[in-house]
Amino acid sequence: MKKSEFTLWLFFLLLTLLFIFFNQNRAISSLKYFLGGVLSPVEIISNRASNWLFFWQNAISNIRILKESNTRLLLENLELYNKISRLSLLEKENTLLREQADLMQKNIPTRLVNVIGRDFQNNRSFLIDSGANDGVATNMIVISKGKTIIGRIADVSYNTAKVQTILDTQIRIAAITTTSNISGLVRGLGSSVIFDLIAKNKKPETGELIISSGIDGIWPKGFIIGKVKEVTSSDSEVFNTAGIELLAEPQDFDSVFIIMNQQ
Amino acid sequence: MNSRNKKIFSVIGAIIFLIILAGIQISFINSSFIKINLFLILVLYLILIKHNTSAIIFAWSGGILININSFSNFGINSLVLLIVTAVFIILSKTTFLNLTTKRIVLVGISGVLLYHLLTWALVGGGDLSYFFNNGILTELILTPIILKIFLSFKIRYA
Repeated sequence: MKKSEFTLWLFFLLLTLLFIFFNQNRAISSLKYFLGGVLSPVEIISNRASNWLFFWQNAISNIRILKESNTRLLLENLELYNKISRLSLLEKENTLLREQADLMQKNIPTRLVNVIGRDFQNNRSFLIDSGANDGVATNMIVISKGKTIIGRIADVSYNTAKVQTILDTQIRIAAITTTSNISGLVRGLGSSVIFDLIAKNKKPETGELIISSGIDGIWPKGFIIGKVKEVTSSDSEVFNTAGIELLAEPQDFDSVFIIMNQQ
Repeated sequence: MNSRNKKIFSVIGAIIFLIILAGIQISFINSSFIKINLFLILVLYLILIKHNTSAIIFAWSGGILININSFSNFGINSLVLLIVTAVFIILSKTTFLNLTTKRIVLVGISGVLLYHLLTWALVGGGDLSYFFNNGILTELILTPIILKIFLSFKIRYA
């Protein structure tokens, strides 16, 4: 080692020993903090780079584990979906059973049935999973939750029955508006329903509820049919008519109630 | 550019280089599985290419910088690197005169061993488990390889 090198080495050695022995000194602590501050931006950048690199290194080295874990999670996910779907069905059934219990409390004997077939050409009829063996008979009224009229039993076999919805052209229901008490006749037009035979001097309000009045002796009183959509009045016509907005379309239901004592 | 400005720029460059190297060592290498000491490699490289003064300066400043985030006493790394530098400067005059691959490997291995022996003696507290880890093994393998690569470049572009 040259003399100059030795001198430099000795100088740094003494400086280092000074740092070691006076480690708690304020000036040395300040120097440490200062150097820490100088290094911190480089450390942050290096740390980010290392995190990024280690993430990908881990991802690549664990690719098999990831693949296996992904397959397992997919299976678990499918199982969970299955459970959710079953829970959703149970929830739906529970709501319907509660509805039935509510109707039973109001002394309306009902039977909960499932829709098993539909007339896809139009919504005038659908098939249910109960028939004559379950006590279902023709002309029984079919309602949905919320006491909304859907139709009536048109045809019965042993284990199934056909429901004629209120959209059917053969349906006639004596009805009354809830607020203005205007009576009329609800008729199915095939794809829609109208409130017909309204007295010329009467005009129901738009949005008013229409319920069955029960005066026809076929349809029970107090069941909801729909809401008044728009009123049509023409000088050439003897009666006023109003379009009806159904609260729920017949194709929306998977389960319905049959009122059992109505023949 | 005159020689004065050249000196100023080389000093500034060296400081920036030191800071970047220390940042990489502390935040990148220390947290990875590649346990190498960049400053030890730098010091050994400088000794092998006969830049002894630079080796002493880098040994001290590098040790100070990597000691900032260390649990040991401030200055211990500098002391270890300064001792390693002195030992290898003396040895380079006698033993490592020619830069053959065998000698470079020997310098790398003995440098790492001496560095860890000194660190163990000063900081390790006599606990022998300090030596039984994969870090030292990878360092023993990688340090001579890196030294050889850098020296090959140096010889080729000298």
